[in-house]
Amino acid sequence: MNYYPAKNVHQKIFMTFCKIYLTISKVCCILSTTGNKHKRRKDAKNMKQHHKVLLGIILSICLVLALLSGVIFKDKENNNTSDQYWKQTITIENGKVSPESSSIDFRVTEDGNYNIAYSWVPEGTNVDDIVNMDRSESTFITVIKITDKDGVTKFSTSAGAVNLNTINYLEAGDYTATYYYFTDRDTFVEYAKKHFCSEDEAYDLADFFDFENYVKDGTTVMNYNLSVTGEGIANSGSPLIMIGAFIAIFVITIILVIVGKKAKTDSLPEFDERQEIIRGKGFKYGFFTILISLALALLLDSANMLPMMHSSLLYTLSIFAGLFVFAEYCAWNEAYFALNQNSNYIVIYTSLIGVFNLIIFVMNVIRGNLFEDGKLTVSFLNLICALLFLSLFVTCAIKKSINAKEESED
Amino acid sequence: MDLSQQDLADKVGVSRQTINAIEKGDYNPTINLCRAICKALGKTLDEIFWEEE
Repeated sequence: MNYYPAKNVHQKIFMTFCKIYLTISKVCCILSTTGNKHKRRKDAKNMKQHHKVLLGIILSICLVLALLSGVIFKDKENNNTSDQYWKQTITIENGKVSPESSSIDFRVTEDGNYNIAYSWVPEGTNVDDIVNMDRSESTFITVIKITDKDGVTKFSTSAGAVNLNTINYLEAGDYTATYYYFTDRDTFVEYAKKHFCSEDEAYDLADFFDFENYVKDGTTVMNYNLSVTGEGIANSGSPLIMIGAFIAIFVITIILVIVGKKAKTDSLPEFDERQEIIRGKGFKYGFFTILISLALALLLDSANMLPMMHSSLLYTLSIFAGLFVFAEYCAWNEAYFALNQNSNYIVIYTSLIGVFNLIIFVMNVIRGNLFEDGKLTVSFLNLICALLFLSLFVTCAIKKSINAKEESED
Repeated sequence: MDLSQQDLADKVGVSRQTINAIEKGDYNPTINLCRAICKALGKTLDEIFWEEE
C-alpha cells in the first residue's frame, strides 16, 4: 500500500493568490463600471478615491506574491536516504523460532515525510513474485516495528513475506527497525493486540496466517531490505503559510464587504430581461450537466473502471463540466457580462488566470507530477481551469467579431 | 429616426443583442420592454409591434 500526502504547497498558495486577485479584479470591474456613457447606471466615480487606491495596492501585492510564490515557497529538498540489505538465518525447531527477533538501526537528519520501502523474502524467491507466493511457503510470521529512540512505535505491520512501501512522517533522530518472528498463534495474538491492533483484529490475523498448518521445522534464510528516502516535503513553515493565507483572505474579504457596502447599489451587475432568461437556461443546463456527469462518474467508480484517475478528480471534473456549459452558453448568447460591466477587462483577467493555470500545468508535466502510480493527479485540474478560462476568451473573441460585422451591416 | 441598434439599446436600457434578437424575431419582449421601445422611438405599440398580414 502506498500513501502519498499532499504535494506542491507552493502551487496551492499560488492558486489562492490568483483566486484572490480574480475576486478583487471582479469587484474592481463592478465598482469601476465604465460602460457606455449613455447607460443609466452611475459608474464607480462615486467611490471615494482612497478606496480605489487601497484596492489598487491590494491588487498589486496579491499579483506580486502570486508571481513570487513559486520562489518564496519552493519545496525544500530532502535528500535523506538510508538503504540497507542484509540476510538473516531463522531456525525453527520443535515449533520454536530462533532467533526470536533481529533489528537494524537507521538515522534521519531532518524532519519530514519519508518513503519507507521494506521487504523480506525467503532466499530463492524473486521479490516480484511475492504476490503469487502461497502462505505455506513462509513457515513463520514476521512483524516489523519501527521505533524512535524513546521506544515510540512509528510504524508496524506483519506478513509472511512482503515487498511494500509506505509514507511516514519522521522527526530527525535515530530509529530502530525490529523484526519479530512468530510460530505460535497465542504468542502472536498477545503481541499483536498489545502493539498494533485490537483483540478482534489480532485473532482475525492469526486465523489468516493459520499457524497450525504452516509452521514447519527447518531453516530459512531471509533476504531483507529497508530503504528510507526523504520525500521532499519538509517545509515546517507550511502550516504558517496556510494560516497566513487564511488571515489574508479574511482581511481582504472584510475590506471588500466594507467597500461593497459603500458602493452604490446601482453599480451592481445588471442584466436585461433576455439575458436573465438566457442565464436561467444556462444555470439549468449546467446543473443537469453536473448531474449527468456525476452519475456517470459514480457508475465508473463503482465498476472500478476509472479512466486512469482517482475518483475525487473525476467528481471534480463533473463540476467543471457544469461550469463550462453555463459559461459557454451564456457567453455565446451574450448573457455572460452585465450591461454595466466592461467585458474587456473581465476577459483579460480571466485569460490571465487561464494562462497562469496553463503555466502551472506545464511546470507539473516537466517535473513529472502529472502522474502518480499511473493515475492522473490533481495537477490535471490546472489544465481544466486553463481550458475553462481560455475557452471563454475564444468565445468572446468570436462573438465580438460577429457583433462587429452585424454593427457594420446595421 | 435614424437610430442604430446600439443607440436604441442604450436609450431603452438593454443590450444591443437583445434589440437584434427582437428584430430577428428570436426573442419576444415583455410588455414593459415593448413600451420602453415605443417610448424611445416615439411610436405606438400598434405601429411597431403589430403583426403584418
